[in-house]
Amino acid sequence: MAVLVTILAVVVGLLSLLVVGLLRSHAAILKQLHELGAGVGDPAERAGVRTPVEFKMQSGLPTLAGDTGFRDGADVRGNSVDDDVLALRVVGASHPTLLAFLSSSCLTCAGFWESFAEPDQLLLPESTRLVVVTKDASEESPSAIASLAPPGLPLVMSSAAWADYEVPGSPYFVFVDGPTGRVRGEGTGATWKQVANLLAQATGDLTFTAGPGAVRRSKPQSDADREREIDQQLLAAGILPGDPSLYPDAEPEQI
Amino acid sequence: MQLTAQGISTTLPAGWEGRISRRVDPTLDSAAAAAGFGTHGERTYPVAHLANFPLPEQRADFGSGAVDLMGPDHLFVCLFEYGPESVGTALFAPQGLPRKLRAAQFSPRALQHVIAGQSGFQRFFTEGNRAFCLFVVLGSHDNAPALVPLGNQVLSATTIEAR
Repeated sequence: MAVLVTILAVVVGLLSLLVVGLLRSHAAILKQLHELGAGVGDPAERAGVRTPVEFKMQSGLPTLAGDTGFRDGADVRGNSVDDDVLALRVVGASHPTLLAFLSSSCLTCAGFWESFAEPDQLLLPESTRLVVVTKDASEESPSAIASLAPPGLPLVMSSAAWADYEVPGSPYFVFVDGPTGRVRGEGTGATWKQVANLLAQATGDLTFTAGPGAVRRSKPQSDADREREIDQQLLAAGILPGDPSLYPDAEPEQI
Repeated sequence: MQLTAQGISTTLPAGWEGRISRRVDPTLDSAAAAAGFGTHGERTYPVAHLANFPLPEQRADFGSGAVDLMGPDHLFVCLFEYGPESVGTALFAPQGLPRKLRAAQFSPRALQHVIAGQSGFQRFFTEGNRAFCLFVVLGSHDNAPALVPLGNQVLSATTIEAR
């Protein structure tokens, strides 16, 4: 009996040490994440209390050689909310890319989703491509992302991109110089206006805050208009979808 | 950069990007049809868009919305699949994806909508028992001798899985 009690006491003691160690490790991780700003969008965070880390930009533009202060960017591959498979060129592109790493659940991200809902109001320089990156469908709710997806902006669901850019949490922004493929700046902010101000200060491009670089995107209606016109003409002629006259060379059973 | 979906696979060279998509099929999905994603009776098939410039989100199947943004050094490649009823028809009789285009094959008259300076190439074909249209647009017809080999590089790296 005494032996059993002793063994149990030793086991309990060891487990207690293990729990204390895990708690300390957890606290250290939380502290480091907080310092990186990962808690900015934490739903548990009290309203109005935000401690974003500074958006850090490298001074000057990276050059192909001798720019050790800049780390490498990576192209972004993943899926759209419509399950398209897409590959976006970031490295070697002729334009800079601003990657916005967002999630559907963080409170601070909500403000960015709202801002991005009207891309024309973002005052991005025309040469800068804004790409929203969420995690994969296995880690994000595709339906939630679909409801938030900004019209006219590329959105890629790619956990690989989060890993490539070592994103500590959301929201997080990475500004990549296209021709060199190097990361020129990264960090987070509480609002789009704050991030845009930091980008404007760092790049010297006031378009981020003052315009007039509203994103000009043509909205292709030509195909839809043409299809509608053809459908109307066919309907007016009494030809409905599946009408045999649409398949003159097909066997009836193949229609 | 590798891009694979819907039985279409390609390796994109530096500076290129792409998207392979298939719209929701309103004939198989009545809810989608009711939500305005097409009309009942319409069928959808894969479409691949490859380009050496940033593809805009709003693009029509044959590139309207994208070709409007092209500069003189840009190329746009579209692979549009048609339904199985097209296989074996005269229009799709040519076998195999054209992978060695010549500058002389491009013409401004091959464009869906004429855009000053641009030219296009269109070919219907069958590969792997699947019917396709290849549509290629050059941002500048004057640059055809330099641009067409870039297009051939992408086409040579593109494969279509048999159905």
